[in-house]
Amino acid sequence: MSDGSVLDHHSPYETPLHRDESAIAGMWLFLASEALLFGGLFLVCLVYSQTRAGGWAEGVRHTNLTIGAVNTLILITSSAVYTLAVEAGRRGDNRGVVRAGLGAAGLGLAFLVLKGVEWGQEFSENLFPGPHFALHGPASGAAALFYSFYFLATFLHGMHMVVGIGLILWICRKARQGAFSPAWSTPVDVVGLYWSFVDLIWMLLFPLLYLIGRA
Amino acid sequence: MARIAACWGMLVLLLAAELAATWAGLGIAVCVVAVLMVLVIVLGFMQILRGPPLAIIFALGGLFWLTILLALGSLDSFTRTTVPVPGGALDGPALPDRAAVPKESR
Repeated sequence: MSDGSVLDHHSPYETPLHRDESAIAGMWLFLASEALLFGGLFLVCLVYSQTRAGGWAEGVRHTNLTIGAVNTLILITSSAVYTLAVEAGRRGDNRGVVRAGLGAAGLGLAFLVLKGVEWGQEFSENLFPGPHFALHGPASGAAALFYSFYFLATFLHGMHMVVGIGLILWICRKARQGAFSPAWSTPVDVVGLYWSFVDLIWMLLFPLLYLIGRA
Repeated sequence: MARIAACWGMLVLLLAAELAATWAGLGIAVCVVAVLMVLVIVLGFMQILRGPPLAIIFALGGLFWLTILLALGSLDSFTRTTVPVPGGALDGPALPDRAAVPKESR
């Protein structure tokens, strides 16, 4: 069936460019669906921060701003470092991909460790909604609502971080095998899009969870 | 490399501005800075404008449906203060327990 032509090599795509652009566009389509997943959470925040403003802001004031700000800086840096891996991939510099990839993954891991420390503090202070919830008073219900949103949103974001770190390590493994060249480094680009998107989501969650109620 | 360093520097400055706006009590400024940070990531790191046209269409499509979701979903709570609902606001007293209400008065 195959005559060994160049076209067959890229099947089902017509050209390498068509293949690479399809992969990039496919990732953007996936990210659009992810935006709607997180959009539901942002809608919850938008509505309850308006209708239960007092208790919501009280919840925000109890979050750890220092850890939140440091984690934001870590994610910004991690995203920038991984973009260096994307540039290295386009040059066919596999060692550069490994170096930058491991740096980005390490920063992602540092984010998760700090988030774990923060969660530990919050659990020990009884800020997880339930019968022993620490905040009392007329607005405690709304504060508990905030913390439900907080734990759900940070858990969901954390899961995306775990997946992202796994993908970056996979890229590093392929780069160590010398898989990428100036002619083909699309997986490095696609994972970069995902990793920057996880960063982007945090840029929106950070003000919602740590800043708006304090301002 | 210069582009990445410039984007990183801009994001760090915007983070500092966001924290300063919080300290100054400027809630709207915090939101504006957050949107600027998202734009720096999308244009600088994700380089959407260098992507294939289909990727740009998908990104704009996601933004469009996200806007629909947020706008229609929050419409009620944002307009209820100007168009009050007869019988009480959202923060009003809780409805009586259905089991405690006599059947004939339902």
